[in-house]
Amino acid sequence: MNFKSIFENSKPLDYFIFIFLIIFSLFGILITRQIKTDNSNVYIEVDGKLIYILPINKDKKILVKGALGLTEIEIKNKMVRIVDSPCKNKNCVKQGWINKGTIICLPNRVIVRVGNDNKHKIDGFTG
Amino acid sequence: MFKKTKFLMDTVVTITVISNSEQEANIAIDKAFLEIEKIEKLTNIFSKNSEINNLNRYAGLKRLKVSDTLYNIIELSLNISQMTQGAFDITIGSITSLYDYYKKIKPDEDTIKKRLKLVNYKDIILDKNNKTVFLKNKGMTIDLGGIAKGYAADKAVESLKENNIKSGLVAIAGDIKSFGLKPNNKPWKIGIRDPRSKNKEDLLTAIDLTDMSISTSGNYERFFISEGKRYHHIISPFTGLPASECQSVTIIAKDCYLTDSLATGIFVIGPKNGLKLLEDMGYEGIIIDKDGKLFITQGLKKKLEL
Repeated sequence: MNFKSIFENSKPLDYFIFIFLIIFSLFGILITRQIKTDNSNVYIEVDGKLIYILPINKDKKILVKGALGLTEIEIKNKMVRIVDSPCKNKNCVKQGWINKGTIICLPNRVIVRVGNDNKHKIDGFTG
Repeated sequence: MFKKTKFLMDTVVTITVISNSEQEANIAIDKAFLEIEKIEKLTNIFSKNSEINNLNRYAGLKRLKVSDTLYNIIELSLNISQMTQGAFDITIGSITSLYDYYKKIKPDEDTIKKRLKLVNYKDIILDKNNKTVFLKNKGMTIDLGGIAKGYAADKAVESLKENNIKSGLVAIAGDIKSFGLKPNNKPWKIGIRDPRSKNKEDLLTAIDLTDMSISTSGNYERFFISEGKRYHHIISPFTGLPASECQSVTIIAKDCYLTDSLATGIFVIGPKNGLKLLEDMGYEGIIIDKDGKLFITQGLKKKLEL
């Protein structure tokens, strides 16, 4: 049996099942991908205190009050950034969008971290 | 496992402890933070009223009696200076103060040349009996930025132990001291960042530590680019310019004051001689040179999976 004969002998229902299987498996891949990335949270700490845990898959804008004033944080398209900050150097704003890792604003005492606390195998970082 | 974060010493400080009692853990952590704050107050070069700046004001004038803690830090600094033949030198202060990494300011050659005369750890005269320090020349400035964080981590761990904590981790930015084991009887796992990667979360490797300290000095922490050259915060006491042979140096040893200051010193010395010095002294370390090449001590090579 070759390809040609498969198609010649197929009935409409066979095509339907065939297409259905393809869509179904693609769907499966998409769903597992969603679950994988959507596990991440955005952790926002001010002056050492955790004040927000937000899912990274929900777009949101937040204002938090730090040592110098208000820091504006935006979550969009599974990324997070600091939009505006009262600090002088604006290093935090310049860092731009992240989907993993940390943005630290020392002057305003704000830390924005993307991650999943359950997966934390590393106890500390150097370098 | 209990964990708290505070902003001290111009960076992020995290203390983690293992304890059965949350109350006991919190009290111990707060006391350890107080220890770090005390050291910050003494050593903060940006604060006019700090003890170190008071000492700097008396440079070339007279010897000054200092606190036991400050005396101790300066004494330890001089040991490291001798060990590294001046590659680590706290009298670099008159030059480091000329750089501003936020405003992208660097000194001109003439100023560096003049100020280099004020950089020499041998011009710090200690009197152990009277706990006095004399800076021989007017204008000499001590900057403890290369040792204070590590020293503070040591003191914070001491304080935790005095308060009945058997296991914990003190991390003052990249200067980390560990003691005891985690609840699963495993050592603490410390990730070493890869300076060659743009992503800050990419690790070069992770290493298991217990009752040991680790520090990293890197040229990517505080810097600016001017005329295509990278001006970072690790200044060579020999040239007054940013040391250019390495990208990062990680040191592992028992005391954190030592890993902190030695990471700076080895960064200045460079990869080949730096590695040799580490092997001779029996400390472990990883050096990444300016081209991205790795230099790893023999003892560490066996333990690492890179």
